[in-house]
Parts: sequence; C-alpha cells; structure tokens
Amino acid sequence: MLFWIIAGFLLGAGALYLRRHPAIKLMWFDWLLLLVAIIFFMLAIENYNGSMSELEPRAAAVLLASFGIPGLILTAIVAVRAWRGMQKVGAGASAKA
Amino acid sequence: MPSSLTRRELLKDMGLLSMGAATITALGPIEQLGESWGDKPGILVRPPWARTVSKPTVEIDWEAIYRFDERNTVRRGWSKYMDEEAFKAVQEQNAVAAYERNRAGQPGYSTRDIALYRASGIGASQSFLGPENVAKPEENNIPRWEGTPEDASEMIRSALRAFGAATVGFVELDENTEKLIYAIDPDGKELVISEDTEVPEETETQRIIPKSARWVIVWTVQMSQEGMMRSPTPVGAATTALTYAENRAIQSRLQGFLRGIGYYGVGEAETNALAISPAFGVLAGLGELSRLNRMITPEYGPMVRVFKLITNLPLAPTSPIDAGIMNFCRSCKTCATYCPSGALNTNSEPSYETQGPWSRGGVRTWYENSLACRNYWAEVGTNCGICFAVCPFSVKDRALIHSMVKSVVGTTTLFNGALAELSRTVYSPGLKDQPQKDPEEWWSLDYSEFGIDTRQGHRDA
Repeated sequence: MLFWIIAGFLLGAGALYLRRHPAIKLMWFDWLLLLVAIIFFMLAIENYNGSMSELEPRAAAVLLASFGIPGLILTAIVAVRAWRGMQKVGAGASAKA
Repeated sequence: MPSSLTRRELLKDMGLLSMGAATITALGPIEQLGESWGDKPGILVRPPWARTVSKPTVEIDWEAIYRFDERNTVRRGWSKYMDEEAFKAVQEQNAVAAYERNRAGQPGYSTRDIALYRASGIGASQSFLGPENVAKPEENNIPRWEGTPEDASEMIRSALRAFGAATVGFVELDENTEKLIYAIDPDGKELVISEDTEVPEETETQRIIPKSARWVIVWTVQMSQEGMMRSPTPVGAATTALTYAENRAIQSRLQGFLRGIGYYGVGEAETNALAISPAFGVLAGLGELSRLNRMITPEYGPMVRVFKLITNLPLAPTSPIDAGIMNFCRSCKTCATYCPSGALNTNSEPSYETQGPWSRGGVRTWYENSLACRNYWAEVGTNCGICFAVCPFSVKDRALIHSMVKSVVGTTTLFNGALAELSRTVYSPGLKDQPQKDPEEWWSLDYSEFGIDTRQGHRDA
C-alpha cells in the first residue's frame, strides 16, 4: 500500500511540475508514451519488490531490467522531444527579438 | 512561468497531488490480482483464465480403466520390476546413500539436513475408519447436522482449511469414478465396495466401503517452494515428508469432524492408500494432469500433495478446470529435461502407452519410467523432487508477473514455448542433478510456518 501511495505522490508531483512549467509542450502521443512508460515503471518496481520478497533476486533483476529499460527509453524519447520543443521556442523568441 | 504561487494555485496543485495518490492507491489492489481469486465457500472460484469445463483436459478411456492393485506401483512393488540381485544392491544403496554423501562432505547432506528430513516425517497416525474420540451426535442427544449438498461442501471446505488443507474439491462417485478406488490397498487388504452394509468396516483381510458412501472429498496440502528448491537433498525431501505427516493429522481431524456431525469418512490407511489422489484431484478441478503425470494446480503449481476421503455426507461436486496447464506442458518439458534419471517423458504429445506395468493406463498422459525414478531416489538417499522444483508453475504469487503469465497461458498457447524458456532462464539456473538453491542457505532463512505462504490462493486470514 505504501508503495502505491508513494508512486501516486510521485505521479502527482510530475503532473504538478508540468503544470508549473507551461513552456514544456507535449503532444497527445507524448502523453500516451508517458502513460505507457509509467505502466512499465510500475511493473518494474512491483515485480522487483515481489520477486525480492519471493527470495528470487535473479528474477527481480531480470524483471526490473525487462520492464524498467523500456520505461526509461520511452521517458527519454518524451524528454528529448520536449527539450527540442523548448529549444525551438527559445530560438524563435531570440529571432523575433 | 509564474514567479510566485497564489493560494488558489496551491490548492489546485494539492488537489492534483491528492488525486494522483488516490488514483494509484485505488489501483493498488491490482497487485492482489493473483491473491484475490480465493475460492468461495464450497465451490472453487478461479480467475477467468482458469475455466471450469465439463471434462478434464486429460483424455480418459473409462472402458480401459479398472480398479488397480496399489502394490503394482513402484512405490510398493519396487522389487517386482528388478531381478533379486539388482534390487538388493539398490536397497543397500538406499539405506546408506545419505550417510555416504554426508561423510563425503556433499553440500545438503550435513548431519542437521539428514536429521531435518528424518524428523519431518514424524506426526499423527492415520487409519481407514479414523479416530473414535469425537462423540457422535446421538451420544449426546443432539441432532445430526442436516443441510443441502452445497451447504455441506461449504462446511467441509471451511473445516478442512482450518485443519490445514489448501484447496478443496468434491467428486460424486459413479460407475466410472469408482474405478479410481484401489482394488487392493498397499498392505494387501482388499477394498470392497459393498451394498450389504451401511457402515464401513475393517477386517483382517478387507476394508469395506458402503455403496451408499458416494462422495469423495479431495484436498491439497501445500509444500514449501523454498524447501523443494533444495531437492534432491534431504532439505528438499523434508518438505514432502512434512506434508504427508501433516496430512495424517488433517485426515484424522476430518474423520473426527464427520463423525461429530453424524456421518463418516473412510480415509487412507497409510500414505497413498485407498484411491488415486491426482485422478480425483483433476476430476474435482483442483488442477490439471501434467507432464509430471501428477496434478498441477493454478494456485501452487505442483507444490502440493493431494489427498482424499470417501464419505456418506452428500456433497455438491466441483468441476474440472482448464487453466492451460496441460497445453503448457506440451511445449515446456523443463521437468523432463532436468530429471536426472531421465524418467520423465519428453514426447510433445501425451499418449495412452505406458512405460511399464506400474502404470494402469487408460489415460492419455505422459507416463513416466517410475523404476528409473525410484532407483535414482536410492542413489541420492531421498525422494528427489527436482521435477517439482524446476516446474515453471512452482512459483510464489507475490510478484504480479506470475498472474500475468498464468493469464496468458490460460488464454492462448501461442507464447508457451517462449514463456517456458524464460522461466528456465530466470528460475532454474542450477544444474540438472543439483539443487536449484543452496541447501546451506536454507538454514539462515527467516522461514515461515511449515515454509509455506498460507495466504497464497486465499483471501481471508
């Protein structure tokens, strides 16, 4: 239960960060990728914790990597796209000035 | 970007945070998917992928089935299938194998490991008629329990759970299922199904089951995965010995309970007596027959022992299931690959052809070379168990991945091969004749009672 409360607060904090930084523009598919990444992270952490409590550290490591790496890749894609978007907005603003 | 936060914005942000936390907390129980399928009283209720079916997934030719003499199994009839000299040699080996390995310093065969194994088999006694120290209702002038078969199933399930059983199912005897009762018990006494008596009896040569006792109660008792992963050492074998010992008490308690409510139950006079447990387990829907030629359950995989009792208390039968287990066995073959004696069948498809007279036949399954298996037990001085330990279904249920995989296996056969390979890579990294986990490490575990998780497969503590 504690894990899910912490995960909820982290997600809420993430949403709050995006809300308080309107310069970060995300397209609808960025949101979709983020959602999938979040699901991967949840699965990675849940299965890691579960497998460790099953005394299966090898399975825990494999599952953490199997779900965590795709989650990281998807998050990186969204982050790079958002950063590029911000760069473009910044460059456009400089050109106008 | 706002440079300062107004009270309104702060409240909105706090709302967002709380919503996130609330949503995820509400979704949290998804973690419990594998745990919340607990059977409802009396009737086994499984997740959607473990479907109840009208016939078991294993094909049975009832015409070819006859009441088997238990003494023809390799368990009891070991000497029948070897010449005298060879049998004498393996018996001698059987008696000293564990101690020889101890003296050679083999891991898993320390003095304390052997003592654990030997001591785990100590427990209550069991008998065909059961104990008589629970008063019958009429002895105290109280009415006998009456109810519908459904009520009775619910009651028996609850009582058995309290006594230490895991899953519980029921089979109604008919002209076919009756053939699964042994003709001769392991001790040579004939099992007679008689229309001439209303009460069970035991004589010097016979055990008499009244024809009016038409219901079979079947139940499983969990074995410890952590223990079994140390097979074939004595630490691994200890969990098997302990489960049989536990069941002797469970059976006696159930017989006492039935007597106390005004009925009777006839049980195993000794381990593996009376009837073929996995067959009744499969018919009751506790699991499916598998490449092990044993029952695999959706909840615990093969990590159970199956037991049965015949009663005159009318019960509502439970149905067989299809959870994709037998189909998975077609492509998996992990148990057969890891079996150090090569006793398990490696053919993809099951067959009616037995590997020796120790099997009765009549069932389209993967028959094993029981003799090779038993002789390997003699070699290692235990009852092995490697096939149970490496089975992909022998997993606990704390990680969500198990429910995810089982739901895929129960829905489609498409990924069975890949999932079996993945399971071997992740969960069975050991060599084929070695324990999958360090037996010495077992002694430092913060072990649970009996080494099992009693919440697995159930809801209510």
